[in-house]
Amino acid sequence: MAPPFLTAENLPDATRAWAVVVPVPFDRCAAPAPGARLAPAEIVAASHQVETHDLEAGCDPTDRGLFTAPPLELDYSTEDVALAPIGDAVEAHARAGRFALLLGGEATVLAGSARGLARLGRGGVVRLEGVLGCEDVRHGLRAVPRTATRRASELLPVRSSGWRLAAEEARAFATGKDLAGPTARRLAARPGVAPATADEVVAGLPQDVWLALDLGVLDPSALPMPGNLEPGGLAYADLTALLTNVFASRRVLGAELTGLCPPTGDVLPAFVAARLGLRILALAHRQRFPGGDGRR
Amino acid sequence: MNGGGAESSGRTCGFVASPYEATASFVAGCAFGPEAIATELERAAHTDLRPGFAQVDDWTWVEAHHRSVVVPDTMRRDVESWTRALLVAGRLPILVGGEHTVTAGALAAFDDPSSITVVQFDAHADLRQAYEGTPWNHACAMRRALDRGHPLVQLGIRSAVREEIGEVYGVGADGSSGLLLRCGPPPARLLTRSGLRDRGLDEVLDGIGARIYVTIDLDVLDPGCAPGVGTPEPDGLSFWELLDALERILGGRTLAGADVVELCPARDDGRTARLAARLTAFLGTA
Repeated sequence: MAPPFLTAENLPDATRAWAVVVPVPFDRCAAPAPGARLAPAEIVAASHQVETHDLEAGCDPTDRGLFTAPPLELDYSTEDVALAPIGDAVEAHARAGRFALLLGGEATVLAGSARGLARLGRGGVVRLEGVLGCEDVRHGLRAVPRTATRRASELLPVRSSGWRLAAEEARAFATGKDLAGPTARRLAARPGVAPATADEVVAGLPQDVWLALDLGVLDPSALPMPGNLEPGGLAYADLTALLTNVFASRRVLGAELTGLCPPTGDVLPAFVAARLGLRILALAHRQRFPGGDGRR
Repeated sequence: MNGGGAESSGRTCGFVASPYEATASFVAGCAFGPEAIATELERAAHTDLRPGFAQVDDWTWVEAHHRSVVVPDTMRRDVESWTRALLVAGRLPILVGGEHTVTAGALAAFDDPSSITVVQFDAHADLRQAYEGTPWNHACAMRRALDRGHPLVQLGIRSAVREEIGEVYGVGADGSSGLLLRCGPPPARLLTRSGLRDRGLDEVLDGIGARIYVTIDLDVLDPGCAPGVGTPEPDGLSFWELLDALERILGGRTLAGADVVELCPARDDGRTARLAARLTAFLGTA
């Protein structure tokens, strides 16, 4: 059995868990190289070095018990077949009232998550990504990292923020559909410049949202890994402040954490991903159990 | 020297190297930290002067024990012995680790713990009663300082487990306000990384006594400027934030001793060793 995320103790199944961690080793067309399939296991391994009381969120999300599911089995024979298990998992956990945290895998995961969310008939997507994923087709494929945000937007409301790279086609699409949120430059706190607010990041989205966080939104100094070379990304503190404000303004149904591409050659990228996973779970825990002692 | 307390200026320092590594839990290699810092100190001092940093007048180092020592009692005895020798000689002891457990050896050389506030810069609270079967784990370093009776001020903390926070600061303490207080004895204060950014130092300064021991775990710094640590944590302090805080804390107080720990050259490209050397020299001339 695969080791669980954050804790040494996995619940026997999802039914007693308030939150479920779902490894999604989706790896079909990630840049700069294959390897995203190894990311969930790397993040889980790194998570065992994370101290689980989140001082800034003020809680320990492992207190009420987590369940880490086995990695999704993915079949890439067709796009629909490949994405189906992701949508099924998202839909099932959301219907059961459980917070789902998906550990990708490449950014394409969002195209699968959106399918499950669309079947729920509610919710929008807060998308944070380094490259605006609003191209239509790339390498002859409709579901790849560069198109995932667009695929999601075809099914439900999406707002993408934090990006610092965009193809002309992607920018035109996002602008035309009014799904382009503030860029990284507008979100970065710096002297004399007031950063964009979380209101701009969630503008137009319904009260229930899915948080789709691609790690490429972070600056290379915060997430030094192959492929994340473009300067001007978010600082870790900018990102966590933004996450806090998103949780304060919307009910977050679940989240995905994508874009880590091993082998990175260092322990830090997977550790940063694991730390962000803790923060997301802690914010979700605080949202679901305000003021409650979380101990089992 | 900028920022050093008037009472402490003019003392010569002595460097104690403790290449002790027995409980590194993530990336091993901090046993090679003292060697890297010593090399960088000499190199930097003999090539470029840095404005705002005084020159250390005596580069003599003593190695408290051999790198192969992994028995905590031996390490503590040897570090305490060398620290005492420096204190008797009227020199400011600066300890270079090694893992954070070495702080316990230096603190043991002070016979009046209640009069010396330990000021900790660290990403981790290090307040566990025991970890991985030993109370002499680097995750327990500040709990041992409290056990001796040292008042404690923790700065830049962004990683902890619920049990250690609850045991020291009270059941239900969570850190979300950015500041935790314990009346004691001994008293303790914890300012989280966000607390340091948002609230500043004012609320902890009056908890810092006239005589201080400064312990700097290099992972308090952001991995972007100090990648060479064994347990990196995102969202750390910048070099200038740390210097500003040190200068403010040292102002008007006497530095009784200090340490710089947890350099892990295996994860470094040279910049963390240089930074650690600058911090070591800064403390050595405070």
